[in-house]
Amino acid sequence: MQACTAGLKLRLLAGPLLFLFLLAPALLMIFLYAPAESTMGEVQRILYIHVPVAWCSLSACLAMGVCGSIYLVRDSLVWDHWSQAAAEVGWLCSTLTLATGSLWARQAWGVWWTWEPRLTSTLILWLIFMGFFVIRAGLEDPRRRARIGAVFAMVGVADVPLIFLATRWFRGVHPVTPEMDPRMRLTLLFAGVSFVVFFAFVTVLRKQQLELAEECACMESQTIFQR
Amino acid sequence: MSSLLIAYLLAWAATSAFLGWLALQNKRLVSRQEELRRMLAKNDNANSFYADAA
Repeated sequence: MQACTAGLKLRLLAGPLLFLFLLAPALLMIFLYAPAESTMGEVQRILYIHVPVAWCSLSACLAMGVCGSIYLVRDSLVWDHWSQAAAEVGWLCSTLTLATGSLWARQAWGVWWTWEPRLTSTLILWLIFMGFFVIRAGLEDPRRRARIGAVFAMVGVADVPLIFLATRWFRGVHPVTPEMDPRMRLTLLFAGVSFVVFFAFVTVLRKQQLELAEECACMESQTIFQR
Repeated sequence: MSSLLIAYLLAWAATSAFLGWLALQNKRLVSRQEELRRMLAKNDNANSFYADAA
């Protein structure tokens, strides 16, 4: 129990270090190193946050599905905690993907939203995360909640290849790997790695917290039993 | 330019809110765990007292 709390404190200390060595340099590269794009100007810099959070939301959805399927095989609630933590972080990232994409679209296409294949499939991903939470919230038994959540997560993963291939399979207006200055490419790559590491860290924190919550629930049932 | 600022501020605010919520939950859970641990220890003491008395 004490080791768990100490682990949490250690991870909280790791936060400022991550900011110092990954997020702060990424922000400096975005605003100082990467050149402004000739057509769109400064607004193009939204891309350096939009693409990384989109990667994070797709990775989180994959993690949610994989952990869900491992839960179904091993029947250990640890995997359900991983699945839930990934879903929460994925929901945050897909919300940011939609919001930043909408701000970019307003400048690039003149509209906030269009029913374009990639945008629609990303909205479906956001709805999948929401559905995962709604289904789980309605179930009290942890095992049943984990089992149904795992099945839902595995079905939800089917949207990931759809988002990835939407620009190739269907004709849409969303850009597909445009030509970039090497400095822009490097900035995007660094920002991508930084955001993925940061959100993976947040997922670990949340998973640790879910374990603590389960430990408390277990202790609560012990106190009731003792009475 | 304002869209750029809004996008980055939004990302910062949403992530900060999520991290703040995590920190609050954490604080609540750690204090609840302490409280339950004390309660269990008290019950154990009472149980062993009555067992000895019996």
